[in-house]
Amino acid sequence: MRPVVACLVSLCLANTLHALTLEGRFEVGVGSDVVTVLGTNEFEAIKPQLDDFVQVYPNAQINYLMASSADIAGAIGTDAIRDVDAILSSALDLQVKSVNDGAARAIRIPSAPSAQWRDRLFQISLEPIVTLYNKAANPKLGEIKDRFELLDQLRQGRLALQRGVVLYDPTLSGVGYLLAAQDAEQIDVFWSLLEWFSTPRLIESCCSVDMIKLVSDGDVDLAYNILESYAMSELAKNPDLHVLAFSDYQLLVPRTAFVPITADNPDLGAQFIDYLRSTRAQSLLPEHMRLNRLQQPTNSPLKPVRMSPALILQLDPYQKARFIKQWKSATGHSASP
Amino acid sequence: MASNLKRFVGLAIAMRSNLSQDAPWSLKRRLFRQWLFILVALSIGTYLTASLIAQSVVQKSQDNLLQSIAQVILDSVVQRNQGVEFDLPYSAFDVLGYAAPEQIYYQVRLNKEVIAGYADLPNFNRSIGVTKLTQTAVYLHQEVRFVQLSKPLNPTQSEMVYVLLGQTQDSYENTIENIAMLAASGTIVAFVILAILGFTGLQATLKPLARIQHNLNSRPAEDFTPVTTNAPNEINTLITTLNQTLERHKRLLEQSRNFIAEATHQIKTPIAALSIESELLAKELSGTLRDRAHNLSVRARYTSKLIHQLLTQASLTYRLTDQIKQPTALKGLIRSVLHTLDTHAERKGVALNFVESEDPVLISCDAIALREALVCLLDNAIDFSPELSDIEVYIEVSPTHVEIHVSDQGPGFGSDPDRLKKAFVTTRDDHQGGGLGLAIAERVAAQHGGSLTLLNQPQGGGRCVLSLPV
Repeated sequence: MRPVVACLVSLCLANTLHALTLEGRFEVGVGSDVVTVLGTNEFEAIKPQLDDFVQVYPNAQINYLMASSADIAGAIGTDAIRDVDAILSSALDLQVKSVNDGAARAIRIPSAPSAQWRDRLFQISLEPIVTLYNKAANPKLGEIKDRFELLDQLRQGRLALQRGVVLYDPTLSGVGYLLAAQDAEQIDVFWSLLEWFSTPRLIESCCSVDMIKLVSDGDVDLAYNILESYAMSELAKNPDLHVLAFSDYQLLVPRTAFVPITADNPDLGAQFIDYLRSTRAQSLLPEHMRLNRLQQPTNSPLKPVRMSPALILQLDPYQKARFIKQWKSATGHSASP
Repeated sequence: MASNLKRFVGLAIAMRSNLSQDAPWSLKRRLFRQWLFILVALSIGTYLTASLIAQSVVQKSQDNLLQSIAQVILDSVVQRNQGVEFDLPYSAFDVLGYAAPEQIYYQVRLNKEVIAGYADLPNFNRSIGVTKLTQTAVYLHQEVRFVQLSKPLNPTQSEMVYVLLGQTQDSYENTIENIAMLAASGTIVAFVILAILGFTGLQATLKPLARIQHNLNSRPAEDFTPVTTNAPNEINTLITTLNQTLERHKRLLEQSRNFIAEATHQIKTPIAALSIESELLAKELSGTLRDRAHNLSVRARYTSKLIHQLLTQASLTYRLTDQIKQPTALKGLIRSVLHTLDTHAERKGVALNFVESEDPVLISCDAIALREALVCLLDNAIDFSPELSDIEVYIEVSPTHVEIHVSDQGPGFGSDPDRLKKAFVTTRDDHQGGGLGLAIAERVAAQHGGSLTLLNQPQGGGRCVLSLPV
């Protein structure tokens, strides 16, 4: 008897421990059919779509809860998300892990095989990743075509990144780690490139805004792997700030959504996800985030991170620890050649 | 004797319909039912067999895939310092994701300690010496296929590394179902093609039979000529037997007719004498005896008439079998018939009127048979007409038919005129008529491809319409 009681107590404790820290709570619409959406999107960014949804479905009312992707992932499988009908997140690896661990319900939404995984996880928008440089500080960067050329130029001394490079700190930023890991998978020369970035100065940062400011102010030559959304306004303001469009590949991280298995109103949750994928909802997004960007010739350098179960390997603490170790060795101990 | 005769004539007439009687079951329908049953059984069987085979093949391929990836992980395990180091190959897992959109679970274990992956995966039997293990188990409410590989880290096998890799199976199940469905539909298509070929073959086999049936159906009752048709050997034996039967029936019928003809002929003369003698006798007698003698003479006359009709019937049968047809002037024929019956009519006090049209009517027919038919019709009409009444005969010509109408003022044909066309059926109970007259007329009409219609006229009396095609 005692072990059972102990077990129950620990379960309750676990649940209370997993209580979700919300960054905001918003209600849209006045309908009686309530759909609770938990998302990482800033309310102001997703508001046009929410407003439009309740116009399409006047009976619906959206209860939008805002939280960080890590908090959402931590709350999966607990009471904290008991009444949530749809979970939207930009952290693709965490979303895939949630679905892999059985947190999502299979729903029928018409979508291309590459736009969904197991009828459970669906792309709802794209988060393009860009590399920014300051033309005034280092005009030579404008001639670079791809990463190999960048590395070649650095190796041959024809290009120097005197002011340094800024990158997401993979130990602090989830998306930074995801992008670094994808780069490492994508090209063999990533680690060499990282070593060269660290010569003479590499700044690791937690946050996009700081990184963009550094490059925009000319404090660094290059901001590698930045979420384009954050850079849009600064790009419009600063004529010296440019996107280094690599022709080998440009990563995009899809924002994804799923209906939790515990959803109260799974049908409306599925309807909401279906709506987010519709042309109407997509037209409310900034152009660079629309899903139809992927409907391009196959030789396009755009490379969305696949909704692959392999992503869960990157979340494995063992694997992550090995990666960070390698990262540290590439950035910390790199001696100038 | 009379009842036997009746039965025989009835039989001869009924023979036609007997031959065309439907079979109690259809070969095609029975075959169809059997084949349908086989088809259903076969497709279910194929489906089940194919799913079994597909299941094992697909399972094998999934196992192989899982095993090779687990092997890659296991191979990467190296001892370093106090613990082990290994690689979780992103691209290999990506391959797994490409192969099938399935959920994946993995675990790397050093002895009992989980060093990477899902800690709470099902625990599999760790018998010593077994380095590979595949098993399906339920994890997170789903069926998951697991492969576990292990290797010792040292020769004493005290330190063992285990790699456990699992994958859900939904899409594999879809694949299995698709393969099974494909196999089953392939079987159905093949079988349907075979069935169509089979039915076509059957159709070809049955075709001569249909020709024989048509041949027998379209021939007149007395036509016993052998059936000739181009048929395969399998059916020729049937035709031979059929022809032999026909031949036997023909001989039998001829014998019977000869007998009737001979018998009637033999009886006719004495009966005629009997009739005359009894009439003479009646004149010489008086009182009840005279009545009885008169009665006797009437009966004798009836018998004489019946015999005449039987004779006519028998002789007509021969004629009709031979199908003798020649152009005949119908009006002349009718006038000659009326002339023959004048005495009979006069005795009855009945007037015979032939309403003649202007145009001559030529018709291709067996004149002698037609004459007998008309004699029968008119004789019948006279017999049934009241004294001092009229009988009208007239011809109506249409583009397709010539109709000879005989209209009387007698009692008509009652409620069921068609019944009277059968042999030996009469409305009279005084046995004045033979009962064969209308039957003979009907046969002649039928033999010419025409018909005999008996009508009750609204103003009273009966009307016979003998309709012959032009």
